[in-house]
Amino acid sequence: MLFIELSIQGLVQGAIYALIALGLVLVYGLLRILHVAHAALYTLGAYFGIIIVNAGGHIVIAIVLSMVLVGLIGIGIYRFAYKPLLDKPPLIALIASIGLFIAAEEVYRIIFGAYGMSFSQPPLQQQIELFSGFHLSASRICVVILSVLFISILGWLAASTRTGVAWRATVSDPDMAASFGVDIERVRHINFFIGSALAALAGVMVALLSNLVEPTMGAVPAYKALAIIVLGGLGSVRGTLIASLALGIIESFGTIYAGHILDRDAIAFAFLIIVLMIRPQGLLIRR
Amino acid sequence: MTLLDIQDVSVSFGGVDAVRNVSLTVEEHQLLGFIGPNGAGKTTMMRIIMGMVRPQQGSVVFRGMDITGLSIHHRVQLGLALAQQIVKPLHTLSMLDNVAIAAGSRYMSSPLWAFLNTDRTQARKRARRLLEFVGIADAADAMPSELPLGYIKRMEVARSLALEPRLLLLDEPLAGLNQTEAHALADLIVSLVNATRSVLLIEHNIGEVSRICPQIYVQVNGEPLIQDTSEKIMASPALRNAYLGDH
Amino acid sequence: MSYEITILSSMSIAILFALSLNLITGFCGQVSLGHAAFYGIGAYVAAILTKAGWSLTLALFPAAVTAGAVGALVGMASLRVRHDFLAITTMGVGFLFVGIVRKQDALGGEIGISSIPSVAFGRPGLLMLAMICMALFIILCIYIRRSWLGFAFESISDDEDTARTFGIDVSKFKLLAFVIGTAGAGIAGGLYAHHIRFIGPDSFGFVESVTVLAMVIVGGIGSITGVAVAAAVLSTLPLWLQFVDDYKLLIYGSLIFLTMRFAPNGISGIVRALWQRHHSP
Repeated sequence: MLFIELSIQGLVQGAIYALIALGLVLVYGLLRILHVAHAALYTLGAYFGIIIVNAGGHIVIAIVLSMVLVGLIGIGIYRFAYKPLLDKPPLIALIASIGLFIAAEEVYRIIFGAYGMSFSQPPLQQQIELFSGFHLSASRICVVILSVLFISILGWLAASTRTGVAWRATVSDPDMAASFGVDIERVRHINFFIGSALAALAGVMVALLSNLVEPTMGAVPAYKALAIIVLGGLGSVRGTLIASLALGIIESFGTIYAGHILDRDAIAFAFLIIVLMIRPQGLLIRR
Repeated sequence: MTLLDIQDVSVSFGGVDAVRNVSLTVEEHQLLGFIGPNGAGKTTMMRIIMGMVRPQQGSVVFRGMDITGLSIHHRVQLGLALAQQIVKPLHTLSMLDNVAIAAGSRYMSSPLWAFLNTDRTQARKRARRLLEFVGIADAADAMPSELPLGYIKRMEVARSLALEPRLLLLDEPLAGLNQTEAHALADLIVSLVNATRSVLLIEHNIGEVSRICPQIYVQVNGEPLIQDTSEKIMASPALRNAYLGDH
Repeated sequence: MSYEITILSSMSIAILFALSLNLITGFCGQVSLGHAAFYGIGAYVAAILTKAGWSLTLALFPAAVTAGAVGALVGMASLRVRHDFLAITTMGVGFLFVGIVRKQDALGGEIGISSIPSVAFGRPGLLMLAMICMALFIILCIYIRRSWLGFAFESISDDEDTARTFGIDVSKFKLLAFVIGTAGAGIAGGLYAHHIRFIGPDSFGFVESVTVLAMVIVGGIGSITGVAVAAAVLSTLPLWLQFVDDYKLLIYGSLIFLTMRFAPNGISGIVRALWQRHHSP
């Protein structure tokens, strides 16, 4: 029983990591920028979700609205922060992104308060019996279903729409894509919109699971998302998804079996460092 | 005496063969031209020689030593140098210091030795002479970003000479230059060959290669085609086919 | 008088700490986001030793060696990944350090180590020691700048692939920068522990890593003077201005972002540009 519970816990956590890490890997694939400030969008998504529900909005409206708003803000970050830095060494954009992230966390603390926010009436808390004697909260089921749903939609978009093809062409060779008439700027905007919207979705999901949103909640999961895209082999979407699930499950079991030496977050980084020592090219890429 | 001996190397990227069963030798005191149409695998060969790409098969022997598994910096320390096609000057350094840092390569053979050495005047002196030799001493104190491509290409040649190589690899040094510039740089390349230095010149510009190189090696689609004197090569129908087939 | 001594001590320690990161990030171009971990290692080692009766001056050596040795290990593992990913692995090391220390009873766990003994000659003695360490490190930085080691670092920081074609063994040089930098952070940490006289895992978290990065960035990556000035100002500003202390991270975060966005060469870059404008027709 413990085994199943830990597996499900790992799966839920892994799904959330996947949503966050996807946005990062999209940006990295396209611009070669490590978008640390992505974490701030995840937190913002969670705040929007709680504020909308507490103002009387339905949870579905909260999810959609939060995703759209954060997606637009993501485009804004691209235009204001990254676009002017694209011709500079990647280090510059990376450091700028870190600064932006830290400043954003403080802005949340000032605007929304240091002690966090909760749902006045948390939605989706009912327990659902999956099979005899095994219950799971609706919010957890919701996390897994929505992640699978959105990731599948994304996969379908990339594979079978014109925009998706243009996006993939731009990722593999921007100059070539431009010479074929792909509007690179538009691809980048869509890229930031989708990535940021997924982070917002992850934020609302975490708000549902823990019923608490804090200014600094983005820090740890987002760093883990960075670790995940390294493990996933830098720029590989499939690798990122697998690494997300692997980390979710390893953490879930590790907390039980290694919790007395390392705390939960340290386990993730120990895992990262060990893997990088053995396989500097990431978990999945074969040389 | 054979300086560089490449035996039967093959490299494929993602299942596509870039270079297949290529053998190539460079003698001491030789200026060897290396030509081939687009997709011939010229740059891949150069990268194999420098150690930027490991061949999946075959061996590379330099000065009698098997260097197939050696990393770039070891090969440079053994006497290989490369002037790259796309020159990457160090943007924070002046033209003189770009050459001086290569001229002081032996100070940087280990971090400790580099820590103990502070004198840069010797290296700068040698760098200035090399800039004079390639004809751009007037730009010694300029920053690379302020100069036209012709200067940067010559600086790259000076920089690779500063490493005192036994074998100098030049990867399309004439690309992007106009006819006069190309002609002048080609003349300079001839003068680089001496008793202790050979040059392997990879070029697109067949006219200049046949003018200056006594021997030419031709590679097509990742495979060796012919190696012979330039008169015979230029007269050979095989070469014409290789290039015409390309267009 | 004692107030001035306290301020000068924290300034000297901050300058030493910032210059140690500058050696890695500025000279050699490797971004470290977990530099506070090495500061922490030095602090814990020195504090344990002085509590066991060592003098601080002596304890600083093991502090530097331990931090440098861990730095070497981390370097060997993480210098293999592409340089922008070094930021992530070093950030991981920062979290790992806090995570491990928190769980070790021998290191005081969550509570940390308190009542760290004061040094000989009290506060002025600590100030002297801090200033000597800072001065020695500044001299080391200036020397490295002028040596071929500095020249090699500069080329690696500019373009490591090109540096390889000069026969430079890039990973060895990066590793050395990492070891010197982390050892320097260890010394700074040892001094800090005896300045504050209380340390815990939270004294060496991500916030501290960002604070020291802000000093290097704002001062101008690679500039010894610029970084020293920025470290002096940014370390004492929160003591003088209450609102800076209240909104420390907002200010540091914005400074990092705005510097990168509008003046990537920091204070030293701005000063140089103004000087050139003033002196050219």
